[in-house]
Amino acid sequence: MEKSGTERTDIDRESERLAADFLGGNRRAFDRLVLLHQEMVFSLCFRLTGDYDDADDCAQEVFIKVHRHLKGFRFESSFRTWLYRVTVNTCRNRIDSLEYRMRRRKVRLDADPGDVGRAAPAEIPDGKESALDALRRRETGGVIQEALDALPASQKAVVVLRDIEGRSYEEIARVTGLNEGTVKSKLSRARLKLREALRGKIDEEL
Amino acid sequence: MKNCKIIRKMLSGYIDGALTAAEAEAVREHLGECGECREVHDSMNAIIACMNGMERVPPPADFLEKVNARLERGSTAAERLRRIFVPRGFRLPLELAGLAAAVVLIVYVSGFLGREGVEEMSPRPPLEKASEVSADGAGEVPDAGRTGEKGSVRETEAVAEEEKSAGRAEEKVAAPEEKASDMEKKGAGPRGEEVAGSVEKMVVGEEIVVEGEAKRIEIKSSSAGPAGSRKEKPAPAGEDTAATVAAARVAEGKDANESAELFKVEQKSITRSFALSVNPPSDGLDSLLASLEVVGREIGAFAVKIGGRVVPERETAAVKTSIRAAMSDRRTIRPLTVVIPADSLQIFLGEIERLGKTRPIGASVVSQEGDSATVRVELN
Repeated sequence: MEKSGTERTDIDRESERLAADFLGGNRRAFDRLVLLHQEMVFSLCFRLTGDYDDADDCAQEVFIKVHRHLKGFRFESSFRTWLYRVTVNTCRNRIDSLEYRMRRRKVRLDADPGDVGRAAPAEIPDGKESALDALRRRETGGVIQEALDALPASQKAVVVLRDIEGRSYEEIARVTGLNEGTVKSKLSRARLKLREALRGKIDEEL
Repeated sequence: MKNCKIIRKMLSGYIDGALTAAEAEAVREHLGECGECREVHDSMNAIIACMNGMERVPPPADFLEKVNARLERGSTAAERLRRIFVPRGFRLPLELAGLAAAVVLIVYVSGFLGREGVEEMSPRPPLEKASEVSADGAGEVPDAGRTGEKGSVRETEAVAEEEKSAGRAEEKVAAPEEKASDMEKKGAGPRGEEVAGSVEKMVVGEEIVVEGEAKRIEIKSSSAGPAGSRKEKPAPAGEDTAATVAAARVAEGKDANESAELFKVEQKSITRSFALSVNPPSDGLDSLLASLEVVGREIGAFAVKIGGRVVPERETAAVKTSIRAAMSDRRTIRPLTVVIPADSLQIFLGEIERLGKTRPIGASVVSQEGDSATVRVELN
């Protein structure tokens, strides 16, 4: 698990090369850039919005913004950090939107307790675990996602970046625009809330 | 107990190894003595471990294609709509949504109908509109580039700046109201009331489409020429008939050449249009109306019908009256019809679905002739 996001990684270097190619007029380089990061962006969008369709829409929007603003990116910081920031901001706007809140309200009233929006598609077991283990893992993920969705947006972003994406405090601070002290306190509150929300379910699921 | 509270706040940092040696020692010591805090630590640790192991959710297989399709299409109506309704950091209580939407609707409709000039009154042909939207999107790139020249923070701000364009978008919506007010001052108001209550027809060149609640009436008309000599088969009276925009202009004393020009533009548009009827849900109608209006404008809608009756395009006061009447008695507003360019139908449906207030559950072509068709969409 990656815990340091400050230094440039191979993925950053590859991203920067593709971005330079794209800005040089190679349209296919942008496609490769999307393919390189789509899973990270999409997954983060899903964790932050809690809905597959919203994640799909937000993730598309992220790459449209990247396409639009790449020209201004000077590669003085990690491409991935920038991408995280665009992603988090895009999802935050979605979560704040009236449309999203209206829909979530409906979901809360109508849906089964465990049904959070449209769930992510089933993951295919990699062969190293039994079908039962895979099912348990997926159910656990669903329970955690439900608890994440109950967190305030800023706490959710911090805990997702830290505990699912594995980013450092420093990088989370740069992604969210918060200072490191605030990141730590938000992370602490988020984890305590998650622990509280999952307390009754931990014994069953974990 | 007080000690427990402090220790629990430090558990997160303790698990991450982010505490000073002295702090970590204090936590370790306390956990050795306090069973409850130890239980909190253990369960928090287990949840973190579980989240560490959560796999990334794969995007759909056609994700790249969808991104490219949106890039081709330019900035979508929904994105603009979101910027209008949801400025960054602004949270509107849900209960006020309908009211806000109604205000936007009245402002927009008033402005749209109050505009002067043939070109503004009738929309551009769909293809021109599409290219305009696309050009808007492309035009933002250089600006973004300039904004981002000083490094990552500035680069991100460039994106944030785009988010903040909500405010500017709102200005765009609000601006036409001044024009609308001007129109009222010029005496359009009383006249509008009169037109709203009269038999309404919509002239569309060689073919006139009158969209009713359950029927579609065609009226043949001569093509462009002196407005006074235009032959018009009278439309049946009643709410199911529509307004003759060109005729209204003639009645207002506009010269024949201008009417002929209008006539031509409308003919070009209507042959590429769908009439879309939607049955809005009884709740959330205000916001749905506003959404339809804004989305419709984004994709080049040029006529709006409420309760089967075309809203007279040039009459500010009449529109306000219609909207207020519709708002006060929601049962009278079925169906709400938006006439949109044919090649925007898919976009329109997509945006309606994206708005999330209601969802198309079925669509059927009521009638189709050449490039013109009437589509009825049922919403849940």
